[in-house]
Amino acid sequence: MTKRKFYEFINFLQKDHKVYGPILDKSSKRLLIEEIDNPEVVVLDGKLTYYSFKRLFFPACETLFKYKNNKLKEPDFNYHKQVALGMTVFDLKALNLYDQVFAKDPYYQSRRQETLVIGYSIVGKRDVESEMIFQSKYEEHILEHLKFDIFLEIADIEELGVNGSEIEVFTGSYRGQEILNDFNYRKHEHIEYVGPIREEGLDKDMVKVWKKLKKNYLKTIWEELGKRCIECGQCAIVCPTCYCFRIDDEPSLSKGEGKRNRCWDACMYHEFSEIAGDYRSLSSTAQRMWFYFYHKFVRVPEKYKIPGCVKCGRCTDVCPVGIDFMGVLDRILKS
Amino acid sequence: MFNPYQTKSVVIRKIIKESSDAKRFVLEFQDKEYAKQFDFLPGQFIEISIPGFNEAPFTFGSSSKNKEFFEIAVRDVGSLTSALSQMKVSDEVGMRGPFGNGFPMDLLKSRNLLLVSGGCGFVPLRSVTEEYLDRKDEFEGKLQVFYGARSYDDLLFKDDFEKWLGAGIDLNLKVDKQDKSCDSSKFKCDTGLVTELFGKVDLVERPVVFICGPPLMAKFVIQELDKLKVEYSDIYISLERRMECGLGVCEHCAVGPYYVCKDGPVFSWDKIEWIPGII
Repeated sequence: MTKRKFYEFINFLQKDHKVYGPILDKSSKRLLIEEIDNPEVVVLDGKLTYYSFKRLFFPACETLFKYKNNKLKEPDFNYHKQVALGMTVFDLKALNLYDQVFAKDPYYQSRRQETLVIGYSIVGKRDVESEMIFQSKYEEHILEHLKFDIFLEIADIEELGVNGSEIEVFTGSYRGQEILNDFNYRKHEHIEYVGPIREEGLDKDMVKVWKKLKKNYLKTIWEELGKRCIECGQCAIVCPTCYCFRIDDEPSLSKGEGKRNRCWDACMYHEFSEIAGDYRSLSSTAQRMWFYFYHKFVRVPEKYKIPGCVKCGRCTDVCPVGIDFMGVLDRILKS
Repeated sequence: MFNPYQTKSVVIRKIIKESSDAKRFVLEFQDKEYAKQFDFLPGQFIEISIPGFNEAPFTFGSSSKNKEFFEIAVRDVGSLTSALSQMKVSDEVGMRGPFGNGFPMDLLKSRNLLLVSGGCGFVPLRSVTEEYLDRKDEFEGKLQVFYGARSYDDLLFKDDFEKWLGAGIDLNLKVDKQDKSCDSSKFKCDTGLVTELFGKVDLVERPVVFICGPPLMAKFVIQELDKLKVEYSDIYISLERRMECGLGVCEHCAVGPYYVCKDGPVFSWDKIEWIPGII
């Protein structure tokens, strides 16, 4: 697909979808995920967005019910069609996890059904060698384990001319094929989704950390991190896999009316485990740090057999006190 | 698709004052068809919902053999419990559940049972006690109860004590401070901590122990049981955690590799004793 054709495709999608994708925010110089008006401003250069795509599937705050006369009114689950454009392999891995975590959640599932997922990846100069690297690296070993509707393999951005055929198009669903066909673009190859776990078995790195953490409270690591962490919760907010939430009622001014909302939470917050009588089972920052890692590297693998961290590094980038989350993993393995 | 956050309406049929700040609510489903297939185990919990005051988890306080109604007991300690304690007979609240695993009642078929509890923690153990009485012909084991509270007034379910004694339950009560009502009561009641009962009272032979109460109490009870060489796998504890969803998703109630709302709230001590901050 040419770059021009790609822009036309976005315009085509905009007819009945809200299209969200990475756009450069000039003041902060960060890539943010915004609704796209002009396709030409979309940035697909392989860099990660500041926030993850999770809010498109699981909003930071959503209304579970409106209530009136103290009765919860069942929602109509009527969400608008949207496109999540420009999800990286990291983001798609996180989506794999969400699909499992929220498998029985009608809010998530309804939104998910209305969302066209377009992933992408950047490859180097298109010579024979990189073509082969791509073939083996993505097509067979990665893409078949990811759920997307369309996946774009974009040649090095510098090389992206207007007329060349620099974007290779793959489909991962019937919906993806259908929409491309409707757009009258047929040069796409289908990749059959075979589930999130690779043929060679569970992710080896995941298993190592999982075993190490499972029954060991690595006191020195957590206490040291506990002294540094300021409990801002930004790591959880930017994380594509964090999904902790709380449920709160928001009464309106009319008596007996209001909303029951589900909003993101972060296990770093001190009130996260608070119950009646001000008792907190996670009583220190160190314990909450442990809880964060334990969730991603023990509870998630035990329940879903896939890692609870996609190693995108957004947490490390956002941390105001410079905690290197990947470095923590190394320390866990070496301990 | 089934919405797990939607509640079922239950009507308050009766309110019984249990102490100066605790009430027992007898609740009945409005949907009679739903009521017929509704079942639970002692130790399981439900989320009670009052729109505007959120939801909060409560354990059952009655036997599951009653099909007409179920009971919860509530101490006025937060916004939802405060709203609930102001409600009147015939008012409606929402509920969803039951959630979790419950106590392993079938162990009573061959084993003696010791219940140890403090304060409001006795609510699920009353469910165990009532269930024990309702299924008495199935159970070989004896039932012994160690129950403590701040004062005699704070002991819940006092109206049941006589019936329990009559049924052969060994009931032992403790109150924190010297209290005339305790001293003059017709039950075995004296001043001190629940843990002081160990060593003073002859324990039923080779008991299975169910614990529910404040974490500090549970810690010392387990120490006492350890001294008496009770196996950790015979000690079951009901954990209290913040439970927002009840579905094992929101992460608030996670303890080590488990979710209190799904894998618990009842755990055998050998499974969880290694988890930092568990009680």
